[in-house]
Amino acid sequence: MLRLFKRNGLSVQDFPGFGGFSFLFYLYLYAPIVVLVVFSFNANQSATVWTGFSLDWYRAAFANQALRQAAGNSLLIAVCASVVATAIATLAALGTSRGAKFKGLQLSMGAIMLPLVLPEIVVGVATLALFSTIGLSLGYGNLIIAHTVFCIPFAYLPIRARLNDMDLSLEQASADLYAGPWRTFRKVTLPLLMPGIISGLMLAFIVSLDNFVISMMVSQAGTTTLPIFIFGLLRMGVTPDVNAVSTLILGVSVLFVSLSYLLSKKNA
Amino acid sequence: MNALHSLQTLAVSIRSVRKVYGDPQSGPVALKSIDLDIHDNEFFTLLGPSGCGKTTLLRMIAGFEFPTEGEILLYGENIADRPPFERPVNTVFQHYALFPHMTIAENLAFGLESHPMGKVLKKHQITDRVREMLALVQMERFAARKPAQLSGGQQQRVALARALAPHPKVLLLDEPLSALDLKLRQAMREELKTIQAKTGITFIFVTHDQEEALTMSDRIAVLSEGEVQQVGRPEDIYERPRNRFVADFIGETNFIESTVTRVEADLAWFAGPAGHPLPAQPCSDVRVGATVTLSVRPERLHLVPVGTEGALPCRVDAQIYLGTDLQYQVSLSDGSRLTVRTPNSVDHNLRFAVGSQAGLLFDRGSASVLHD
Amino acid sequence: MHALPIAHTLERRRAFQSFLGVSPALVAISLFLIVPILIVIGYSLMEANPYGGVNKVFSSEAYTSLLFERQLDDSLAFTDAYLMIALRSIGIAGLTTLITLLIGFPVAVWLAMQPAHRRGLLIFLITVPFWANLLIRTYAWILLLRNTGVINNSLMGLGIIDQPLQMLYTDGAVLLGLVYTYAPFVVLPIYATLEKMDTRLLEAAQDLYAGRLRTLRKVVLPIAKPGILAGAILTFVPCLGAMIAPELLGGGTRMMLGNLIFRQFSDARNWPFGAALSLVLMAAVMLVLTVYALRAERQRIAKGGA
Repeated sequence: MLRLFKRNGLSVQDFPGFGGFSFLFYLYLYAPIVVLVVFSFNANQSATVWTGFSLDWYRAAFANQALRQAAGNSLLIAVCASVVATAIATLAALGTSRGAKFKGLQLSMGAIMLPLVLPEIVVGVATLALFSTIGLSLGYGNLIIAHTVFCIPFAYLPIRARLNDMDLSLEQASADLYAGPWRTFRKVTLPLLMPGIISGLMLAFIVSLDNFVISMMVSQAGTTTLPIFIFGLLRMGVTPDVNAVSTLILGVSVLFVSLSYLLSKKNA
Repeated sequence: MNALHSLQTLAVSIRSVRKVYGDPQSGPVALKSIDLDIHDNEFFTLLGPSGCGKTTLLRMIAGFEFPTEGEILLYGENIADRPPFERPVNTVFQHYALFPHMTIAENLAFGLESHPMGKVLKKHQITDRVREMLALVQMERFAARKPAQLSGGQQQRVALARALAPHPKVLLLDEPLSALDLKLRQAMREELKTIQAKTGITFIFVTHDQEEALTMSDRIAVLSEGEVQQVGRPEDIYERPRNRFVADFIGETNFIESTVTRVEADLAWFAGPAGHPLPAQPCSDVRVGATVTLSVRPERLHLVPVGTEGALPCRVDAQIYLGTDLQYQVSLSDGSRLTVRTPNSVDHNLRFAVGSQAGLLFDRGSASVLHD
Repeated sequence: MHALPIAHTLERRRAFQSFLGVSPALVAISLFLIVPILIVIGYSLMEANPYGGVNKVFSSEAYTSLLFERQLDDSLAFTDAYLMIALRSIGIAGLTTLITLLIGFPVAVWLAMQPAHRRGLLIFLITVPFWANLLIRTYAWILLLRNTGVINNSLMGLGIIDQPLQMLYTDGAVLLGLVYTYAPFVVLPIYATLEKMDTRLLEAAQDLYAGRLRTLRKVVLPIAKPGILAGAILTFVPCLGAMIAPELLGGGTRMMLGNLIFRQFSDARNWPFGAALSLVLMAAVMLVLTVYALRAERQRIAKGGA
């Protein structure tokens, strides 16, 4: 592993010390996560004094009814929000990066990126204000709506990137070979765009699953997501079952990111 | 000759086509005003440096761009406003544009399955035609492969077969050989000529490589800066360049400033370098005393031992070995410098060393009058 | 020959189709983000309802509360409490940006100099924490920093200290957490800019007698500038409104704008004040972004763009 950070001799591209520094940086990035994972297997009550290996906390986590409920809610919201957001984002990406420019194109792109650009707390306050004013009380529906909106830019970016990378001449070739616009879209554009769409979908899914601030602001009594549940646990003090739950969630995130990465590598 | 021509149908006729990007009054002009006639069953080349408009013109025939003004006639019908999928014209793209997610067979079948020009083909008709096209370009073994698994030359042949499969009336080729290395390019040139002759389809070929244009074409249109400079058969373009651009772009040449000394019925005499008289075919209003630029190809000049009858005395300044030829730079008594090219088959003893004196002979009829 | 109308109609039809494609996204965002912001403006001008929410009565109390406190005799006295929080937020955000840039730049340079086949994996390793749950990652720092946490336990175990160091609930902890959050935001844009750099420029510089430091300063840094700027914006702007790190690592006393606003909607139940604070935050964010966008536009025009 260390070999990643060493190089034989000094070439033109080497800046001495940068490699060592970068190693420390990676350490810094992963240290908290490693600590968390390690202590989730701690046999002890204390979250930070190691006494032995144990799966107790995982067993407790799986047995926890409230936890399972919260996890289920998060999954449901994430699935709904990511699917809808990806559909909307796909249309938007096609509109902004394929086809002719229209007036207000730049403005539209800015608007699509708005949920990304504003601090989460502001988005949360605004969404809460809206739901409160119109009296919308759909419980999980509220959360799904809120999540869909801020997932749109996350799905949009990979799809747009894929579109921009796509060779225009392929669609021209299709038209040259007598395919009308719909057939070209179905047979050429969409299949080639699919990796980007899936990437966007997965990104939107993770972002929704992990969201805390906006969910916290918008959720009403009785609606819990996993991050809100964990925050509640934290409020009561640090306990090892939080470690176990956290590690599980981290595992899911890592899984999804890895899938997304492998997918993009396959289609490079 | 004219009667024969009128019998040939015009495959493509470009009438006063003009292309301006952006604002029609002030935008960049890609094509100034193009008039071209391309005959049926012809291998026609659009030749020119990058930016001359040849690709723009090709794309307008294909339907990826539309002219700002003018008409594009395909066998008499104006197709200038039709989208690409409504034109019986197919394109071989510069980087092949093969669909990466489809097999070779699926690529070839694509145009046929798209109901080309409203024709609905039955399943077996499509498979038969695909097999026929694969055989034409000798790619039968690769039917189930994907484009990424093929080499550049193989992809090129698939692109060609794909474009020919739907029986287009005209085939457009956008610098298809530019991505191949020399040996492969030369092999493909022959193959393209053979296929054109076999299928009888009009080929419109775009290239910036003049050697390619000269070896492959029935006729060439030389373009520069959005205008047609000259149209003609390869021999005509090469031997009788109309203007400075064509003379310089195709092959190498010597530019000789001269004055007209005598005008006869079908010949004019010019005072060339060091006053040496040169005959050339005149083209309209050439008056005695006028200054005119002549073009003489280096291979039409010959070096002979100094003192030979009729030879201009000159001094050899440089000798360059080109493999097939020897190229000399010589200077004359009046200071003018010329390039001479001699085939290397000449006896070693007849080579002229640098610094030596020699005689310069002009081939009769080697001078061309340039217009501009 | 007259100009062809077909080119224009086709162009217009395709432009309309593009607009149609974008419209669901625009509708969603207008309805659920832009309109709500207008509502927030409205809320900031209303009276607080002690049970949460607002009474639809006009009141400018929220804005006066930013700088003034209402005394028992109904007079106003200047209070700098919220001003301090705002300034602390700007200060911490600025410091975070600075630190992440100082840390991120060498890492990005090192990454860009790696052979291509290694780079994918190394970037992936940076991206993984980036996508992991922020709440959990910040919580992990609690495990490390608390008085009975891993760091203190190790130091005491090794005998280096005998009293635990107070690390949690300090400004330093918040800073650490924020730097941790935003480090990938800085590394990736700088890397993206440097990746496209032609490494032969380094060879040319060193061929012309520039040492490594000079090469870094004169060749690498200018090329990386757009990436550095992008990374700075991507860090500073969200950092201004950060909520999780100050809440978990700073405790109740070291508030930033983010968790101050959050408190207004939970414990304090002062929605209009929270709305006013949100607008202040949003204004600050928009200001920074506009300056950045204008600068980027000016640079683009200077480079000869149309």
